[in-house]
Amino acid sequence: MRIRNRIKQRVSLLRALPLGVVLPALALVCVGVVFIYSASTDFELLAEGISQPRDFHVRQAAFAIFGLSLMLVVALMPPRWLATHWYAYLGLGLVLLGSVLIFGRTVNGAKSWIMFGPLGLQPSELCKPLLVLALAGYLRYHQSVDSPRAFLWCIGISGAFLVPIMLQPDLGTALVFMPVVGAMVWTAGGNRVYLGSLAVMGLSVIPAAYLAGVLKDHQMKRIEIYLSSLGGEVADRSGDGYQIMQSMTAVGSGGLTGEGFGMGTQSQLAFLPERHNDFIFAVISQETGLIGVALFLLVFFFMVARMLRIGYGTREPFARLIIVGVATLFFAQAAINVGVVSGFVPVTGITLPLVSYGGSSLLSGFILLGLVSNVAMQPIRVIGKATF
Amino acid sequence: MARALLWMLSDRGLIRSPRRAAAWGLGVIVILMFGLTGRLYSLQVMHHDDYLVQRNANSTRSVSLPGTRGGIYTADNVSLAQTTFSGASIVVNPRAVPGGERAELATRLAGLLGHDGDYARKLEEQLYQRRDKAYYCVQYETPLENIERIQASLRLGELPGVEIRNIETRRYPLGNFASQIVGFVGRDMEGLEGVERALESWLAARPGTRVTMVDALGRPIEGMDDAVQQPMDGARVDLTLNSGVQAIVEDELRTAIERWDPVSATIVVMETHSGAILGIANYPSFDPNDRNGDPASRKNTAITDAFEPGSMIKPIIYARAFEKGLLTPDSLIEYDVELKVQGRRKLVSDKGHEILPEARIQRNGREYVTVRQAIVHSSNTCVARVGMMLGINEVHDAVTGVGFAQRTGFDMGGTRFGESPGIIRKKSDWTVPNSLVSVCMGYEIQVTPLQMLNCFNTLANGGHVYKPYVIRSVTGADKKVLHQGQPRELLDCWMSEQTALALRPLLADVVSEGTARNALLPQYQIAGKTGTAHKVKDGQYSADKICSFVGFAPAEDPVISIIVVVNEARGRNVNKYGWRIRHYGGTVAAPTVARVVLRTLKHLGVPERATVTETEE
Repeated sequence: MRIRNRIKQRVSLLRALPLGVVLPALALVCVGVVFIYSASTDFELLAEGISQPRDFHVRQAAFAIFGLSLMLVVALMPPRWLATHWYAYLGLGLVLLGSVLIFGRTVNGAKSWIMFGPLGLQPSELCKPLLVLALAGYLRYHQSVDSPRAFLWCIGISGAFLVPIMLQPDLGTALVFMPVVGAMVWTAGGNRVYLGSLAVMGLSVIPAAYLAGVLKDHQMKRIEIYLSSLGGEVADRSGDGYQIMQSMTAVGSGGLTGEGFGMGTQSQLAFLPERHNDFIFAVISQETGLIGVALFLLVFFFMVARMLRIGYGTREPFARLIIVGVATLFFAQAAINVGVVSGFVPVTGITLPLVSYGGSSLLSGFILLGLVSNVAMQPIRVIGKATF
Repeated sequence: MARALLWMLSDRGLIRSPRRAAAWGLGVIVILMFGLTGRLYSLQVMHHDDYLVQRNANSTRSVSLPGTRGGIYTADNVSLAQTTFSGASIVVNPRAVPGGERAELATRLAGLLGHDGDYARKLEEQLYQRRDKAYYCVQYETPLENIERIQASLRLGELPGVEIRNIETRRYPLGNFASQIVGFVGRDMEGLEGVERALESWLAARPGTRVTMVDALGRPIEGMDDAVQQPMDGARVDLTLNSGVQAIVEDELRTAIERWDPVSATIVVMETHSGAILGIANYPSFDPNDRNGDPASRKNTAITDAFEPGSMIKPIIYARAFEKGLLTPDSLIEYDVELKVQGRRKLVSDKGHEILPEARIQRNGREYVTVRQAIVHSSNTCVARVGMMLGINEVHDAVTGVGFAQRTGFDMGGTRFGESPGIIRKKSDWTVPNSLVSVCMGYEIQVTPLQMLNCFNTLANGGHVYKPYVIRSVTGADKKVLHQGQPRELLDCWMSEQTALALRPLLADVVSEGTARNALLPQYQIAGKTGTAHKVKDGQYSADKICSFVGFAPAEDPVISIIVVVNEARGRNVNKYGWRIRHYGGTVAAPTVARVVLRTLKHLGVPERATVTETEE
């Protein structure tokens, strides 16, 4: 009876669900399902009998429903469970990442999948909420990371996630983690000098290596393709530059108003690789044009801005850290993905959060949304204006 | 500034001010949003057209729908060049064949083409090797029944990536008949020589296109609306050539070649009143169906090779004197068998064809001949005297004024076809009396056979220098007449009709009693002039000659003009008395002229003259 009452009490919290975050997120998921349908169904090829219908969109919808319930579960968890056992989340993350390094299955050159029968799991995706939780949990107790020791701890925690992920290698996810860690440590009052120097070091590694000439040939080639794509004339179109060239073509040919749903030739005729996945944004670009894409980005921006608004409103350090982490994660990942698709950022395998096809990616997105909802729904939100 | 920097480096608060943090975060996000949107704007709006081009290059393939190249016909509708489809080719796009279906496709295709399993294995191997390529021709010129079976199978969708293509070929049904005029096409049906080249833009079919959508593997997407532009067949070209005349010309040329074994030879027959070419034949010649022939044989030597005409030029000099009122056909010219021209080392000589003493007129201890006799016997000394009488300016104007040293404007002419304008040296380079006398005798001047013919055609038609032409009409596939050949004057000739008419009987006499007696026909009176010019070899005049005859017939009312040029006759023939026939225009070229004229005029239905000789008998 007591348990029942408690559950009832918790469910009643749902009235405080941050709709400003959840509704745009659901809209994005719906857009994702719709365009996965467009991208994975080669309408013309189906008519020809060459292609088999693929049910990516159905699976994505199923994942979305499952993810939504997972989000509610996370949202309704007692906040103490989330806030106190940061080492447990760290440990869980390490176990997942360790097992993928041992039992993982290699897809596209990266050992990032664990197979459970027909279902595949990408631990690096699930590590996103775990990292945010672990870091927020640590920083909650160490509100000042001004000391070198605390700062090193932060580096240690994030390194525990980053290093195994880089070993897979899944550079895209690793790349997304960096701004998340930076933003959270900075929010927690991290030493600007430490943070700044770390950021400068991180940003200058690749250009310095490029100029010093210590990179391997294929890496040099990647960078050259990237530099050429910035100008619009992609080098090595039939080889390594193929992907980015096709993607930019899809985006560019969309024009202002797009070619219409299901009419994007780049995806419908299978020119665009990974079109339901990392390059779903290119499909959206070609089929809806700049107007659709701008709307899409606006929705995304609205969602992130709402998150930050919640973070701004709460005094709870843990809540604030979670929200900053999640918002940064969503925004950084989306920005990098859009940058990649439009030839603005070098190609790194990274999904568009909530939109790209992929169970792990979607579930991790919903868990992150659940975390935001959880901290947003806590009854004591604003007691008074912050005194500092 | 310094304070801001200090603030940045110092770290006062433990937890950041949420206001400031939010402002910072939001600022960064907004800047990134602007950056990304700007990038998207740049791609989607500013460079939209570039990417549209790229997209179309990706996803559309333009398939060419061939039209048929226009045919070439003689004036009497005999086909000289036609386009045929030499059977279809079976073409596979190996990229569009899924790896798993390769063996099955090869087996099926081999079966349809009537081959065994061994062939199928080889085919599969070929398809495997070319799996990245988009084109592999399995078989050319496939028999019809195989085509039908493959078509049936294609309709069932059993043959992925297989296509049937028609291959066009150009055929010249009459082989080397008028081949230098017709020309030929290259492998891609582009005209390389002759009419095929000159009228390429009309003859060539405008291929249609079918723009098809293809997927990333190059497989066409059939269900889509293909943008089809129908091909436009090439225009039909009718030549002025008369197949009968052309056949006669070629036949007689062949006979002359057998008899005289020359280095080269040319016969051209022209319609007097228009300048239209009725027949033209050159030796050596070639078969346009055989692309491996000697390139030199493709030359239309009637326009490409200029030669020193020799005596053929003399009537022009006389005509100039007539025109200037200095001479009439009955005027007397002082005659010497050999003439020492002051300042000229070489004697001007009539040795070998002197005017007989009984034809000479004695006065005051000197010998005179009439202009008629001088022309009929092709006197060198007389024409030298006339030339000197006229002077450099007049002689120069005379020869340039009938179209020498100027391209004829012939349809198949111009620099593109290597037409030679001939050579007349600049007046300032002429020397008196050497050049003057030489030009009057047909040396130090080079003309092409067509120019010479055109010049005599002027005499025949009363003073009009026409542009020779061979294109009668060009008719588009839509029956629209694109071009109509018609007589056009090349230049304003100085020769009056009176002069031309005055010369005609003299030229007729050349045939009836002069140097060209071999061209005498009972049925038709030919008028013309022989020419025998020594060829220059190693910088000296040699014993080898170019024997020629140019003229028109019938003399009273010319219908055709004709030139025969035999370059360096080598054949040693004897006459009925067992004497070796020496090579002159009158002995080598004139008999051929006679036969060509006889057969041509009969073919054209020109009435024969009242046979005076018969009634006299």
